[in-house]
Amino acid sequence: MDDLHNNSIKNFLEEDFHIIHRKNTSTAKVNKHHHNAYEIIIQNNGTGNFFIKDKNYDMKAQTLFLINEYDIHHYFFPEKLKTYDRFVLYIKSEFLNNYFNYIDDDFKPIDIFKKEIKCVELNNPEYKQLKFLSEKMILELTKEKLGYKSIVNSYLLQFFVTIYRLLINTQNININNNEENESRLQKIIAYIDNNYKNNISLNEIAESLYISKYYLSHFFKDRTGFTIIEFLNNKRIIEAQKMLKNTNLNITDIAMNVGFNTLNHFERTFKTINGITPTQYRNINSNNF
Amino acid sequence: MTSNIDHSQYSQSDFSLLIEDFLISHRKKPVVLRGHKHYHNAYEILLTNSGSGEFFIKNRNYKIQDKTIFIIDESEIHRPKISEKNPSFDRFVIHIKENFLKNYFNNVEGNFNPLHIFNKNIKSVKLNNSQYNKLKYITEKLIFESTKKQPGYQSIIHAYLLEMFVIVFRLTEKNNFPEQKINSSNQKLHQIIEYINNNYKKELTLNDIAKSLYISKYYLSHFFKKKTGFTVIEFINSRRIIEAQKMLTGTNLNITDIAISVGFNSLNHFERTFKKINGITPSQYQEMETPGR
Repeated sequence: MDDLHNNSIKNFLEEDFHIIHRKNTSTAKVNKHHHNAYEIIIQNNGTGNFFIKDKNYDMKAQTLFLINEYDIHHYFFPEKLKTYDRFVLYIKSEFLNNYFNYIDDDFKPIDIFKKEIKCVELNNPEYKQLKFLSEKMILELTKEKLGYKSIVNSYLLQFFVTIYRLLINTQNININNNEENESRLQKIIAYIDNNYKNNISLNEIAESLYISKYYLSHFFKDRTGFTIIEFLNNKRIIEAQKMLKNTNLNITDIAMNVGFNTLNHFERTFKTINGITPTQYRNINSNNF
Repeated sequence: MTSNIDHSQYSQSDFSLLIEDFLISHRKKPVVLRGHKHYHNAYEILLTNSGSGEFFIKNRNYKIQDKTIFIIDESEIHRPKISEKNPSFDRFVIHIKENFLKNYFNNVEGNFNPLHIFNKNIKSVKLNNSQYNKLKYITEKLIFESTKKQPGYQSIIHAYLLEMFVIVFRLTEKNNFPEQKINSSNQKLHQIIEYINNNYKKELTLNDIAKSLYISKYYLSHFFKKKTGFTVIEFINSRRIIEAQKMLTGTNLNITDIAISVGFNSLNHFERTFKKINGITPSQYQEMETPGR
């Protein structure tokens, strides 16, 4: 998937759940990515911008970020950043959807991603609680004492319920900068979302929004950390991943469907982003066969 | 899942928990001073805040003091005896039904099963301050969540129970807590109970037991009552009813056959004894405890 997982503490429950305590930015620099896993971040320290899906959020201490399975996201930070400290949880959808089904409750852990709230500023007790649970999970997964899986389960469930409850009365916050910029960014992304299946160019996007090609490229790179073409390719690859996983279409058809002109270009782009070929991806993730 | 808070004094009406899956209570008043006898088919974990006396569990007595947990298996006969000088007994009690636990732990992978805490021979662990505070915190959270019922409460109750089970399990793994000494009178008690357990299916008299252990009938009754709070006959009946309860839910035998096979010589006597102990008749019990029958 990406090299971030090299320093992961421990695979757990067949790689469906990881928790990592990350303290340096060396991996974050190349951290332009999406995965088919949900991601929860507790930011302990550090500043910067966090682009998630179609908006920019202020990155600061004691902030919670919730990233959906296929949300494109990218963290970019000031050059001189000294402190950087966060807990990152990766959770596969299969795990999130099925693992806790035995509990008779209206609440399901997946619910915390359904409100589409991406960013929450935590008050002190909530932050301490989530930090405590993260540290406990890492400790238990490191020591592997008898019963560690059960107790990590318990902490994870406490973690989910804590987040769920704080989301009940929360709106998306920390949206960065002025509204005009954000609404322009969203228009660009909406245009890409609606047209990625066709052969679209920088020119077309710029024209449709009555801005110059030059301004568009700089603006978009500045706001998201992606070039337009990178973003477009990411979007196409995400849609391809869903099709590889959930349909029987052959790979050439999928490539065409998501807007690539040639199978070769599709396969190269796919491998650049995911580190594996579409066929390998299908073998690993397929729901059908 | 159902959960209940019971702040009331311990009483016979507690047997309502026969139809509950999970019950947690904070009890401050001592039992009736002479002691209360009961058992039920629910697992029980008891955490003491204060109190002194002795706790009879299964076949021996354990010391009651503050900051102690007691772990009681489904059908173990147990009874606390509170010191008359200091008749306060502040404790948290958690009852959990097997069904609740089954759904709950089926999901946990690997060879670890928190339920095994009940099969161990460790019934009592004296806690240090940090262990006590942690378990007390979880227990208070359990009570809070069962009372408030905020969104997600069922999930978080599961989480807290799971955490508690792992903590208790790890406590019983350690060997560094003082094992309670088996003195000679505990050993004698052990022998009597073993004799009853091996022979309750037949007609069993005080005389039989006394003879087989080379003690007088008089000594036997007084000794047994003093150590356990039960008369010998009460204890035999309790043992018989426990076995009958298992058969009522676990087999298709009819009630007369069950009565006979656990040592009663008339259906009438069985039904009266059953009702006295459980508050309901054997058929009612069977109906309540056998889902989908």
